[in-house]
Amino acid sequence: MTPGPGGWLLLLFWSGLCSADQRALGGRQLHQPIVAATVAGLILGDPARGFLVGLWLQLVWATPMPVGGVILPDTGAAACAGAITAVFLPGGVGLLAAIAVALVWAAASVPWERSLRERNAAREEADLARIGRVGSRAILHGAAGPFGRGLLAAAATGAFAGFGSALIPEERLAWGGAAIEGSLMGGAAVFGAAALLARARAGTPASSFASWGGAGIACGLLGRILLEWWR
Amino acid sequence: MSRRMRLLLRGLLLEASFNPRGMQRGGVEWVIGPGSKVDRASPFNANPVLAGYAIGWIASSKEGASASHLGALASALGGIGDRLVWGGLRLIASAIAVALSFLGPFPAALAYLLVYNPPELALRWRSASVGLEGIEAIRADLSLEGLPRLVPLAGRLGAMAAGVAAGSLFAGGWLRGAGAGLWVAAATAIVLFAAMRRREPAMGWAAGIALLLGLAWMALRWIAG
Repeated sequence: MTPGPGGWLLLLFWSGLCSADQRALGGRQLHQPIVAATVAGLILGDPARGFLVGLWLQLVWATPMPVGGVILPDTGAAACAGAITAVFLPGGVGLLAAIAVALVWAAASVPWERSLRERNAAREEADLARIGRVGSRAILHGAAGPFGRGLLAAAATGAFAGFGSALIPEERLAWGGAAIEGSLMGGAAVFGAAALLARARAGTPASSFASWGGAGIACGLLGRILLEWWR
Repeated sequence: MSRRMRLLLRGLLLEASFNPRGMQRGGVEWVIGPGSKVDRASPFNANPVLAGYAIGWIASSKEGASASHLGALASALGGIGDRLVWGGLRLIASAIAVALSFLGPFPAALAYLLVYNPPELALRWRSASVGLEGIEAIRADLSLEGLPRLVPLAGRLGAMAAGVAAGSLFAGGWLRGAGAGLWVAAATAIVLFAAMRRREPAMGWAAGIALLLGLAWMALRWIAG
């Protein structure tokens, strides 16, 4: 489904908000791929497709921590870009393209973020020279930088995916179908499970991790089987 | 608007102006507002969720916080906050969202937001409140009987949530037809736990090889299926 002008504006705003949320605007975790991509998919009329990309990215990026000024990829904008691609390009090939777009965008966002931070420093110094303190304008400009980056991500990806869906025949996009989707999600699931367990292990003594983690695995296995059987 | 609420709301924009020179220093100055006594000679960086302790202290003290004390406090806040919020709360939210992903897009996304945000906002509120009460209240709250008590609990809950997510993903693979590979992988994970607990390298290697074989089997089944 192609959204109208209102839908596109909403999508651009959402992508900007997700990008700004990571550092500059509140940190409410809207930038988590599972959240950002699901809502982007919802705006485009296919939340399930957006969610699929979001889940893949969430499993891969479940554990990095923003510690000590480290620059992490812009997961919010990347997830929105991935969701837009996945909705416009159907099938297994479309999913592969969506993940590739998200990863490329995430890689490009790191040097971009570095330059935004340099500009923040210059803006603070200018404010100190001008009014003797850091003013609201410096803060708003600081938040506007990542917001613009997210907005641009959605706009550029929309154009790219729109052209792609017009140029590539649907049967070419459908090639591989369930096998590609299964391999991608299966691989991400194994990686995500291992990464989550490794992160948990890093924050817990070995004995505590073995008992609590072991109990968790048992609960997860049984709970999932029972819930799916009940449904 | 109360001072605490103002610090809490403005604190949400603490890192908007984050930069490699002063780090959060400009944000701290803006959160406190005109007349803030922030030392501009040294950078400031703490976990943004718990930074309210330091910001409240600077805002409430008449003579201003000394740079050395502030540096020590920022380090403590980083140590506690990074383990409690990034390593604990965020891990738990992420694991629960992944574990619930089979229920569909909205339960998983909502679970993330609902698991993470209320406790995180409560921590922000608590840090701003205690910070405004001064250094003695901060010292008491950051002593071993205070906030750091939550760190081991967050670690245990994180281990459990990660386990639930891993178990749910393995079960999902099995229910979708991953078959024997799932059980090889699950059994291997259990052996791996035992190996790590006893710190026996040979068992760890055996478990690792078995895990790889299990994964290869699963991949083959997925590709074939």
